[in-house]
Amino acid sequence: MGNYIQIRDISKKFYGVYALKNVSFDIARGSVHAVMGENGAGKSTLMKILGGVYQADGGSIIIDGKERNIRSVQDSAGCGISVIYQEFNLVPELTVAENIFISDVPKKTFLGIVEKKKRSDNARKILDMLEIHVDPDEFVKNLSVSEKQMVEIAKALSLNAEIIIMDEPTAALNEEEVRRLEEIVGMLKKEGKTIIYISHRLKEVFDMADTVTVLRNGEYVDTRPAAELTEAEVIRLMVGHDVVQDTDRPVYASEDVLLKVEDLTLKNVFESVSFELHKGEILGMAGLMGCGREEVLSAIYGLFGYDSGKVFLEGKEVRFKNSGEAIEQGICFLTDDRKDAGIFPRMSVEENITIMSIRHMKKKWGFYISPSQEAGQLKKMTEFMNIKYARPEQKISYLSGGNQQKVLLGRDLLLDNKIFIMLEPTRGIDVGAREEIYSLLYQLARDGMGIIAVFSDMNELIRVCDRAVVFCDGRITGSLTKEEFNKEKILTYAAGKGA
Amino acid sequence: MKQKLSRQSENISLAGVVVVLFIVFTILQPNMMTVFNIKNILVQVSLTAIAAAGMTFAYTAGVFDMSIGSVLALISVVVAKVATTAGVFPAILAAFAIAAAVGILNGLIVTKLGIQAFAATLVSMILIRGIAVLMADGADVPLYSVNAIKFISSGTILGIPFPIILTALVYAVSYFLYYKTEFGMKIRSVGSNADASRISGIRTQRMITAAFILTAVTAVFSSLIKTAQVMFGKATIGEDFALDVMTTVILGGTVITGGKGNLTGTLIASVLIAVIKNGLNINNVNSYYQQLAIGVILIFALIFNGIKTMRNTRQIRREG
Repeated sequence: MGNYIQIRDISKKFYGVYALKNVSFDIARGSVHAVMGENGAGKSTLMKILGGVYQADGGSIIIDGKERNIRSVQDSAGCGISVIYQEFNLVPELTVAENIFISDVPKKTFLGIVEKKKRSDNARKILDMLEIHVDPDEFVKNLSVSEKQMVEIAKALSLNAEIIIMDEPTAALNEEEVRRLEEIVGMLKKEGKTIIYISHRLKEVFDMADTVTVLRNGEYVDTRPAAELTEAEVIRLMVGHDVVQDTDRPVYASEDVLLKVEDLTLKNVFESVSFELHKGEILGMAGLMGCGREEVLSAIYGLFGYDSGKVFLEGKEVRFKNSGEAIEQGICFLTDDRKDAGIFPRMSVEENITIMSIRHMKKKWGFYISPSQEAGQLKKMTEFMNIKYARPEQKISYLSGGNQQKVLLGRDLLLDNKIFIMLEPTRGIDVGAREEIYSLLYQLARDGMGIIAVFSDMNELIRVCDRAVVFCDGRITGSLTKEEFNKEKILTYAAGKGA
Repeated sequence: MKQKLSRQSENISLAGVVVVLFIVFTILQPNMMTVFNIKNILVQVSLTAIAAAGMTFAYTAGVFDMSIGSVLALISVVVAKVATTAGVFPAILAAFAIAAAVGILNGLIVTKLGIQAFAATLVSMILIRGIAVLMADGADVPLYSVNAIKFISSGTILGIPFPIILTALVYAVSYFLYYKTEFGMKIRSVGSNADASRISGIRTQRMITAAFILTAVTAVFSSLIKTAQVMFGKATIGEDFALDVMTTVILGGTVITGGKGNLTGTLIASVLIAVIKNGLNINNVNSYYQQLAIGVILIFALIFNGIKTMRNTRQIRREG
């Protein structure tokens, strides 16, 4: 019972560097077992070994008393393992139903034709069970990030696996959806499934997990019942030292209005959105998936247009036709889709950080950029934000999520910005880097910048922001000051039931 | 450093293939290793290499241009017509103006109408060929009266054939543009991640259009050399040109999906193909077998490239 899955001395090296080193621990049948650690701790590598994506260099995996030789994804599925990966493995050009049953096509008619209706019905059954409101015949490319995540979960559950591995399933979900996921996990547990759960979010780990295993730098640190641990202890185990919490941070917001938005409307997307951003203020934007807040911010930034309404920057009316104009005026935009809309995967760390500031660099003969200037900018940001990379020419895709995010932030910081629009600035990054990003936000606020931050994790929003506006169905349904912050209130507004 | 080395290692291995092939051909037929023949090869190289430099920009920006073969023909006819009536310099001016217009046209079709580069440039390929044939009125336009043009293909400066000098110049400028300027960085960023580029305030549509202009403009140089070689404005030249150039660029190690080009590789690949063709010719190999040989060599090159890409994506996945 106590050792349904036995992980024994698992090691994995990449190019001579240990990603995992002699990791051993047991997982009990029917339990929710959280595996925690910073980015680069080896959690994902371990899960990929269990999932058959990688082969371990050494060690063994024993499931249900039998040693298993997992050499491929098929082997892994054969052991009853189903993995929900951090990155999506959905085919955008196929429908939701087709994606869910991609490896498990339902019965065909005698002509070998897939029974589409049956498949859609089966997909709907799973989606309904999970309370996911997505049309099974919708194409995946039309879904939002969090809807994709839910489809990914549905796909894994459709395989009826005994062991379900979830690699950061909530990174793209908001509070409401996380709660639904917690219910799903509880349901699966009741059915006797074993769940291995990876997450950076401490709260949900404590809500769900029976046991917590912590990894650090590829090595096993400890396994303990969740009930015996506190959040602070887990963080200490993960980072190896104590992390200072910033409960009493001064508020830097001033009276000066930096950005004023009046009755901004884009038909069927958002309507009569009005808010103000002050100097030195961190303004949070809350709301459920599809509430329109990202769209409002993108429209202000010039990524797409709006039908009516006005935007004032320091009292002057502006309307940006493209993002270049917004950047000229000192506004920057941090995407929540780091992989697809943030980094330039084939370019170096250095190029990634200087891509925006390059236009202001001094150029010889009008266009020659001296390499030392670029190197200088990278160095400045590396020191300022403690970015870790092997060499400036290294491709950014090789960095951890936290370091990639710091590069993206550095890109904005190299410009003379007044307003920072940030969508999920801490998505998918580890506790250490997250704290560093928080203190960066405070520092920016102290220097008189205005920050608009979208957080799906309400704990973060409450902790970081000075004030919050809540969106529902493209409208602002409520506004709260720091003193008024509380989760129930935000959720009520987000559900559109506010005053 | 490792990355730089890996890029270099690819180039070094490609250059190694050139050297080995050259030695093999020389053993088979000693005439290969004469100053005359080497000059001949290099002049052959210049034809594809110059246009391939432009095409490398296009691939880097995430597009490619099927129409440059037709551009070659149109420019040839235009140059012949204008040169015989108004003189050489107006002819060259007109050539560049037309190329720029073609580039802008391709760029607008792709960016404003949202048509894929393959379809868009396929259409302009047919269209431009049609215009060239119409202008030439079905016949070659003789250039005998304008002897100055001959210099472009067979003139020499300090004993070096002019096409080789032209190639060197085009590559020097391309290198600079590609690696040392804001423009180059933007072209690469658009091919690497168009969404991120837009958010970073880069005019992605302009960059793509610029890549098309560069491709068409470099094709002008190739056309001038070709036209000067035959001393005719011909509407039928360059039918395989676009494919040759695209093959060269891919063989050189430029990533087809955008974001990463390899100018050095493109240059070496042009030499490789020219050496193969010349070597087979000089050894009197039947031209049917020549196609076969080139095909086989390309398959090996692509397999090599494919293995590398696979290794890269695996590494990226690990870090994810």
